[in-house]
Amino acid sequence: MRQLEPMHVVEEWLSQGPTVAPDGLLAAVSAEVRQSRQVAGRPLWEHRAFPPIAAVLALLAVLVAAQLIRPFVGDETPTPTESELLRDWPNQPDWFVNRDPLPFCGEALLHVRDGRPVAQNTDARRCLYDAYRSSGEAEYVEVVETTDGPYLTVVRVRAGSIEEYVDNTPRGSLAWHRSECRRMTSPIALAEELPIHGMTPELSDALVFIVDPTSCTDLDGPPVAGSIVGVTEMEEGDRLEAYAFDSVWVVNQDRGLLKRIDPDDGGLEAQIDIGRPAGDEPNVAVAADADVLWVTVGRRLLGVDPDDNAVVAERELHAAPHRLAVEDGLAWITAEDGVLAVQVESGVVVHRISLDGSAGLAIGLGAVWANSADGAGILLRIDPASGDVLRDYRIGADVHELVVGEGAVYGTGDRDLIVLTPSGGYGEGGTQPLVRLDPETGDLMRLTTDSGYAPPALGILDGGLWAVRPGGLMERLDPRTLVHLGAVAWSSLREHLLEVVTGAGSVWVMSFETDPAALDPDTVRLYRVEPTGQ
Amino acid sequence: MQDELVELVERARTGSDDAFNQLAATMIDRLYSVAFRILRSTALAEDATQQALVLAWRQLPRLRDPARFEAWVHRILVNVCRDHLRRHPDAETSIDLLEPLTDGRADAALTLSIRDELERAFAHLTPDHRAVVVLKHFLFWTTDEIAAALGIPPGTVGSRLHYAMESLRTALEAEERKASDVAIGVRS
Repeated sequence: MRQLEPMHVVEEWLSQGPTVAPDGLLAAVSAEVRQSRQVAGRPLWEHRAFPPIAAVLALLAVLVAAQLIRPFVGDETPTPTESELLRDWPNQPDWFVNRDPLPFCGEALLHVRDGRPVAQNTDARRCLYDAYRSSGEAEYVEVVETTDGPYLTVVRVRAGSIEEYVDNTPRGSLAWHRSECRRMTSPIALAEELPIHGMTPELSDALVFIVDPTSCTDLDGPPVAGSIVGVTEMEEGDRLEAYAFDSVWVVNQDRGLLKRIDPDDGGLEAQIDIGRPAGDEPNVAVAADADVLWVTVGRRLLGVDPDDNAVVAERELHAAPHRLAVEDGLAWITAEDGVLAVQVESGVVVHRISLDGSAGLAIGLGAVWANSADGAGILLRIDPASGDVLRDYRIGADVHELVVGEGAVYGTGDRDLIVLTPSGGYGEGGTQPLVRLDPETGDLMRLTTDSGYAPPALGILDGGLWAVRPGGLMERLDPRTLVHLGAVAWSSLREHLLEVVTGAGSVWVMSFETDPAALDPDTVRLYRVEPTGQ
Repeated sequence: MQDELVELVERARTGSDDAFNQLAATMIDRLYSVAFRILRSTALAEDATQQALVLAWRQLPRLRDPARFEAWVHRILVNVCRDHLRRHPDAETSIDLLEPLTDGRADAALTLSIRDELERAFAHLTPDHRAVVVLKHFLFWTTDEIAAALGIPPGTVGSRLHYAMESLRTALEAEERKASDVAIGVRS
């Protein structure tokens, strides 16, 4: 039987289907274009600005009859919150219970399907947004049912600011949080201006407002987990790979370069030509042993001497690795069909462990850890000396990144993939962001981030597990309980944190920021974050 | 050709709907083809193509480099497709796809059952994963071109492509095993 070549088959499959737009589509586009005006570019935070005439009218309205533009629904006298959802809500702190009453826009109890709330209370959101636009005051209550339990958020519009109260108890922080932000826009505003990216009132995830975090003040809430002590502008395409030999190592695969960054000033110490992987070969991977930095580029394993930043060894591999980990003279690599251990001195394969679509790889706790990527969710614990599989764990979820430390193995899954139900089993349809596996007992823990996304990267430092999240946020978690201990907030919501390594007492984070409506080069930055006392 | 395109973009940016309509005419077949392959629905693809082009028209003054119009409009299209998939997560696959091949490729590797498996596996991919597969294996763009169009790092393109192809490969292998088990569909 002939083996099917997936790429060929997929290309043949994709070649089928229509290649010509239906009759009338171009005419429909032209007709709509004729009736549609172009919009000038404006920064995100200016969407709330009034057009001049509207601003004048609004000002007159304020001067003549301020109450007429107040947004509350029903009674014109501010009344206490009429929320049914809050009536029996447990553990409300005094400073929440005693908040001053504001006009009530309504509430919503949202159920989550595929990680996204369904059936938003659009009228209530519109009421809140109208209050914001008209410098009025209003309150809105939202509860989202999740597998972790209900999430409560109370959003209050004040003149010139937004207050947000969040009950973080289901997220494990055992705390309420209150913050105040002074700059924001709304999914409704974005939907009017730029109806893409899902920024519609109905499909705006859990976003009532999109705040600029630099304008926010935490009034009550968890402590700040760390502070950004250094930032370096990097080149588009740079990817953070490792901290080793007192340096940060960055790969630019597009240019075939390995970069060595000075941790003290972020300066470029050295730039080493490693070549580019060919075609669809996996990404370059980097790992260090005692005195050599090892790099896989396609089917080549390169050894870089950190003393003179020169390539001093090159081995041919039988497969192009996806991951690399090195210890005691063995380079462990993952390929399509399993895990291989290669002697770095000779290039000889000494161990071969079969594993379908192996994804994550890490060394620690006296073992090599590798997991499958075939949907079965198998995690192998491998004896590094013999290559024997000591134990296999059925974790039931694909994991893409593995980190070992603090007595456990941590893995991040793909978004919208699998959810761990409270009963301990996995089921489809939600998110499975983070798994902690106790290697002795095989016990699993999970954390569901409130953003509904898996943390793309993890690091362990200073007794903390550091997990980045979309929207420019990094959390410090208790590595044993996964309780949220604090966070580091970035200045831009659009700054995506991608990779994390730890070293020199710091967490190193690579980010990129892009404007979805522009094609300027992405802004790539390397951050150094120092933990604050916990 | 590229100069003509840039000139049309420049004119369209200043508000010439005639110029934009010419641009749309040159792009619409390709955009529709891409949208169909991401969304797997002719009706949704039609909607997405129209919405993407109208958005491109409205947002055109924001495009700073006219030479990058093609990548930019593809980025808008992919974003619109993502939005459509969120609105219509259960949209049915176009039945056109399930019709037997009639163009002389009957002996091709793509049996109906394989196409069915691919459709199912593809339906489980996220919009982002679908987009990189289509741009790579239908438009044959390079990783750098895809990264520029989608606004993501090339490494992310690579990892998304790897994950997506792994999923499709798994589906194909399952179909192969199934075919082998029932001793039909064997080709040499």
